[in-house]
Amino acid sequence: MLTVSGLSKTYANGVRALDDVSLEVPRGMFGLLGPNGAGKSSLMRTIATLQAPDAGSIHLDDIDALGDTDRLRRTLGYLPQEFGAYPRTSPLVMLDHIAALKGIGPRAARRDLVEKLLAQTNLWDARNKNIDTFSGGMRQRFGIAQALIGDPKLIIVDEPTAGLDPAERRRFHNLLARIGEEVVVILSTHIVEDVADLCPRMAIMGNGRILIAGSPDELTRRLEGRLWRKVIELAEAAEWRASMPVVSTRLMAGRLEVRLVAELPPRDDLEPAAPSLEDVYFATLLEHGLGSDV
Amino acid sequence: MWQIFSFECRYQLRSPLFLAVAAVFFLLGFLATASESVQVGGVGDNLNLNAADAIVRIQYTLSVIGMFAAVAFVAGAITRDFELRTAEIFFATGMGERDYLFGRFLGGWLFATLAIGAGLIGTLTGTLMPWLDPERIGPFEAAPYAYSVFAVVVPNAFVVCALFFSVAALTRSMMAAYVAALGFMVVGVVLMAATDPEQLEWLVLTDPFGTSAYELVTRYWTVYDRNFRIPEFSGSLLLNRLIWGGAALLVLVLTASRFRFAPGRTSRSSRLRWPRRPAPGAAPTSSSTWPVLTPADGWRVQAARLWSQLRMDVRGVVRSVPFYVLLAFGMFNVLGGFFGAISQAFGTPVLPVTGMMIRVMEGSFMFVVLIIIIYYSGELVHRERQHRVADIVDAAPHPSGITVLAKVGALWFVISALLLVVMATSMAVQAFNGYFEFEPGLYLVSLFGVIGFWFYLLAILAVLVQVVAPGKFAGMLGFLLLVLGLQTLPSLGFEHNLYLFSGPNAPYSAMNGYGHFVEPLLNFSAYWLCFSVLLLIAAHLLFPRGAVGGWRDRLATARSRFVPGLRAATGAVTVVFALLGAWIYYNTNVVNEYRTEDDLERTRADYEKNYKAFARLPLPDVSDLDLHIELYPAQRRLESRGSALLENTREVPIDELHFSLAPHLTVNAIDLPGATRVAADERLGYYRYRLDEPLAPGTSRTLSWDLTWANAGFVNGGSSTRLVGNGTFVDNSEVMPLPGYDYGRELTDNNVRRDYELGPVERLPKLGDPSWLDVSQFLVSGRSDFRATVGTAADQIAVAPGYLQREWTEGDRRYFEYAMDAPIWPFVSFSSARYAVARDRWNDVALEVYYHPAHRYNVDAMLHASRRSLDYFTMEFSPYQYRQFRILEFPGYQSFAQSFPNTIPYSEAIGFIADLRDPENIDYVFYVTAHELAHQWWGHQVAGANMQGATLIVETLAQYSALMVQEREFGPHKMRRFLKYELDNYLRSRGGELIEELPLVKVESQGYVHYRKGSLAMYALKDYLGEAAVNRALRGFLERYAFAPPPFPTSLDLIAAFRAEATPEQQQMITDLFEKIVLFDLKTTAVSAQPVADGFEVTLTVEARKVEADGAGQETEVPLDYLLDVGIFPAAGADATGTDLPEPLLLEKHRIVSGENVLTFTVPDRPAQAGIDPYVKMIDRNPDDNLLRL
Repeated sequence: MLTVSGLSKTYANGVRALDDVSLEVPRGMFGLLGPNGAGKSSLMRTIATLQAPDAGSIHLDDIDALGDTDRLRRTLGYLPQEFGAYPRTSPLVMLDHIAALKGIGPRAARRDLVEKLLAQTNLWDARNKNIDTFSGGMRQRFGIAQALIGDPKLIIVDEPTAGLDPAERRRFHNLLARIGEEVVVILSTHIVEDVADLCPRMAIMGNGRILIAGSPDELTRRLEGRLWRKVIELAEAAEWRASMPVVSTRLMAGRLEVRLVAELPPRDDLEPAAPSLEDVYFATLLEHGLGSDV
Repeated sequence: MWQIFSFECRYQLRSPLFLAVAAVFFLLGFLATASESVQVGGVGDNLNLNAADAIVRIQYTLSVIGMFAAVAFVAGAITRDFELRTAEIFFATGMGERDYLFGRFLGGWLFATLAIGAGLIGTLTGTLMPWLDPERIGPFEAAPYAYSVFAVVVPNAFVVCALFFSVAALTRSMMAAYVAALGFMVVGVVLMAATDPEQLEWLVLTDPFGTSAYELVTRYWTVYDRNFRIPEFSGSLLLNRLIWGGAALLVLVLTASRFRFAPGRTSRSSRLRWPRRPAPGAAPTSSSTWPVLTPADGWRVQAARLWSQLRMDVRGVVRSVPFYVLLAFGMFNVLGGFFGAISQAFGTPVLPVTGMMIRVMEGSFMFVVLIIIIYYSGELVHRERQHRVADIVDAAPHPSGITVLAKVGALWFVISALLLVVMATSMAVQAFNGYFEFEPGLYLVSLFGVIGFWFYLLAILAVLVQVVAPGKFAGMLGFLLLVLGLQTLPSLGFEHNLYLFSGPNAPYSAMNGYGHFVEPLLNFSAYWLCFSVLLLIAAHLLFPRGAVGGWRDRLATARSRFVPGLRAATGAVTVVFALLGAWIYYNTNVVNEYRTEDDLERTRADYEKNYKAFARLPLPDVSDLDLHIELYPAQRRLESRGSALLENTREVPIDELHFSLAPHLTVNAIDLPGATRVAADERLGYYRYRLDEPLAPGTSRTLSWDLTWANAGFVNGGSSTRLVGNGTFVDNSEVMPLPGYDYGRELTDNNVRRDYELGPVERLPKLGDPSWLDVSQFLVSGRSDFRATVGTAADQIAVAPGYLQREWTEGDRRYFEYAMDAPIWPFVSFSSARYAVARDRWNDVALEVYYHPAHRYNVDAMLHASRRSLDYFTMEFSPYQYRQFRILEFPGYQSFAQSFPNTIPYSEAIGFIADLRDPENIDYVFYVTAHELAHQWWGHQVAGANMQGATLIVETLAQYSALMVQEREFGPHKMRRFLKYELDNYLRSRGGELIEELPLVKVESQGYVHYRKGSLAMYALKDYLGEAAVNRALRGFLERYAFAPPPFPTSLDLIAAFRAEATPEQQQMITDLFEKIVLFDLKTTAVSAQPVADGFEVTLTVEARKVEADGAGQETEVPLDYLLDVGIFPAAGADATGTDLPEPLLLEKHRIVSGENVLTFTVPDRPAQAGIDPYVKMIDRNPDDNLLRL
């Protein structure tokens, strides 16, 4: 169980990246949703010991992550949002190096681990290629392989699916899903489907705060009976947005589907809609004044 | 194009790069003139601070440094769009490729020029500063600034900008442009090493900056010229600029024709490719999991981490192009130094003995190592961030110290690779020169220990600076400033190695090894090693992981990393560091006196201020000298006991006796019976005694002494290399009280003298000063009997002038007793070393060479030269006055030979390792030996009165004597080559004159006048008067003055002897050679040949000019009316070697007057070349135009 409480961080330029963030993350996959700039990465980096907060505490079971960074790092697997590799270096060499830094030994065992990880992440055939030349999906699989080294109890995966094509995303999801349920996995993303597909528990962040947390099912259920839809002409969009609690709009064959949240339908011509996690996401943002023209 | 240009200009104007670079160059230019501590290009001490030459040279230097700034401007201008991926936007606008290219180029070039040009404004501002010595500021002249702009700054900026811009445009890589810039530096360094005047003419054309061309054109410039003249923009200067300007333009045009917007066409192809292991191989047996391995602990794990990180970093280094560029650069750098050092004198090589190679390395590649440390410390420490690996590895559980150690290790790897390359280069040079006595052990100790040690420690310092710095470039700049600061401190009077991150200079000598330098070296090394361990700990504590917070956060992190074990280690190292520091301080500042250069100067100034007043007190002569010297080589201790019989040879009674004592001597006792000590200045070494009863003329008194020269502990710097473990060479002035005031201690640089409120230096009394006619240049009026007993270590031989009377051993000491059977000047030496001895005879004179056993090479050549010299001198001048002649090798800390009675100490660095295997080369061992042996006549038989011109008698005649023996041995061809070097040396050295150049008759111990010009003048004199007449004059001179009592001869007496042998027409020539500074400008402007009945009629047109120069080198034309050589030569035969001319068809003296002379001759064979003064007997700055080919 990862416990985050009262975490705050204000950057030198005045941006309040984390604003009294408290969170309880049990074992298993935990999705962290939020728009760009919501503070997801700040939170992830802080948990990953790469950034000190101004206030608050983080504990992984009995480890004080802020006080005893060393102990946390020994049990941490971290896949940063953006990462590279030394130039002209193969995943075999790079993984072996990271394993060595993590303190995995002796050499033969380390080598064995690296080769098995490469096989498991479908990188075996590319093991001697330059990481520079990898596609986005290969790169992310390499990233998860390195995060898995050292049998971590806490795995942090920051925006892993950004820029992946659907097939690669699927492959990546499968990989993530296989990671044991024994450990805490935090997955930050701004893609709702990632969370919907993978995570039994989740939270939505905005403006440096946790806006809502729970299981996707439970959160979706809360919208049941309150979500309405209608397909309109494009030209009407502005008028609708100005006068109605529009959660989201979506183009449908040249026309626009609008979705609204209300206890009772504000107009007669609306039909009830089945809520999805995406609706929860947009509704939550809208509720906190963070809605945008979607 | 203009649109892009103005876009570029706006960008540059706003960019901090332009302002920063301009500020740096302004500052460099400013400090170059405004501060004495900063040397940029170098204002000679003898020049005005705003000398034209200084201003131009500073700009040349700045424009070479500016090359790297230029890369940033122009290469940045072209690669920026590719790096920021904005290129497509520009290209999509449909702009022409050429417009884009030239627009960017012009903008980059303009701002590079402006930024580098800021240096010129800095220079100008610097010369206006109120604190400068007004004596050294000449009137303002615009010409040097104009020259700097149009001949230096703008064209150099154009050349480098065009070339680097092209490289960057075609490769789209900033790195490639920097590599090209480094290549340029290599060219510059190699050129700097080239000194052969024959090759310089075309070599200078290959210098992209034109610096060498400027050097060539101004090499013979005098002080006056350097202060006020600007070279004509013609000849090699203009040609060099045209070639490089043209090349740059061409490259630019070619680039424009090849450059395409479409990416990838011209780039990437040059990238290094590495072979890959084949991919196939079975995947591990698929189970759906992987082994559970958790981070472990223990030293093995830490070692594995370190090894892995080190391997990654070293991999990164060896796979980068700059690594190889820097290695090549380092190689070329020492290569230039090696070849420069090997062709030591007169174009003759020295044997590339390891000791000499090491001396070259000591000086030459510090610069490359600094570049390496600066560049790679930045690259390595910021490598993870740069390649975005940082977030992954920073979250790994390894201690930061592992990363720090790996970075330091990788940097050490690069330094070691460079040292190995340098060592291999050195050995290759040795082998190339046919020298196979490799000493790998010595290389390892010197290169990796003595020299390399500091590089390894600097690497640690650089890593710490990078760890602390906010960014890579800030770190590089910070470290550079730190190093420059440390280098500048000594010139500000902060010279102690306890804070300079350095150890004492430790010169190597084959004879003495590292000698007594080992102890301070080890102490300082250990001291700074401890300090560096503390730096490593600091780097571990401060190494950034993840986001770098403010300093409060970093210090908090550092505190948490400062675990008890580390605290204890830090404490222990700090204690050792402090103890070593205290021990060093005790040695350098308590046991010994710590004195800076300024302190030493002040001591000399104080000595002069306090005691110059007594300089003209009547002095007694030493008429009997009896010394007992006890040498303890291992302790570098010397005990001097002895007595001198002081005889009043003046006509007045002496009532006060003063003595000067070398300041390193401790007085145990000085005893002068019947006298009272009235003052004793131990600091300056000056003692005054009042005689109870004045010493009447003709009477004498015995002075006896007991002195110690103890070298206890070790010193911070300036350790004496005279009294050493093996190869001691000291003279009497270092071991006994010298009567009277010691003129030798006066400061000779008038600029320095002004700082101490001393008037201009008086190097010697004026020629003809009657009060000095009775004092010889040995500062005595008569000769002295001499006896000495020298004790030394049992395995050494000690030698003093005189003949060995007795040799015995007492315990572990060996004693030698020497006595001279006739009086000598009281000017003696004491040498002691583990010598091997070679013996020979010439008639009944015993010849002996005492040499370091490894230096057998040229001992026979020395003996041979001695025999030949004795042949000539005894036949042509007078008998040799001794029964013995000895040469004694001493360590190469200094390189000269010096002639004492029957005894010549001779440096290991000059003759003993000369490479005489090629008989075509000038045998300068023969020359030096003959010259020193000639001093037994010129100096020991006859010495001049102590005044201007004295060295005409002693040194110039020794040069002449050596020339004549050489001519007899090797023939006139060799002499012409020898004299060409003398001419070049003389003309070059004039520009370095500190006070004023004097004609030979008034020479004030100026080497370039009495040796170099002396050789030329005497050879010309011999050419006109004939060898017989000159030698007749010298014989007469010796007959009259050899061993004669005062008054002593002056240069006027010698010249009078020459004049007596000369015809009336030759008198003017003697005046020009000896009494004036005269230069010729002789030139053949046209030659034609017509076949006639009995051969060919040759018509020559000769332009001639004669000028007279004053002491500063300002020239006035004077009428010429001379007999000068005219020569007509056939085509060179197949056997002609080098630059030697074939046997002439005609060589005769002809009357030549100022202006144009047309001469006609008939010769029997077809002529190939003809001209005036073909053998360059006259002093002519441009001897190459004397001859013209038909």
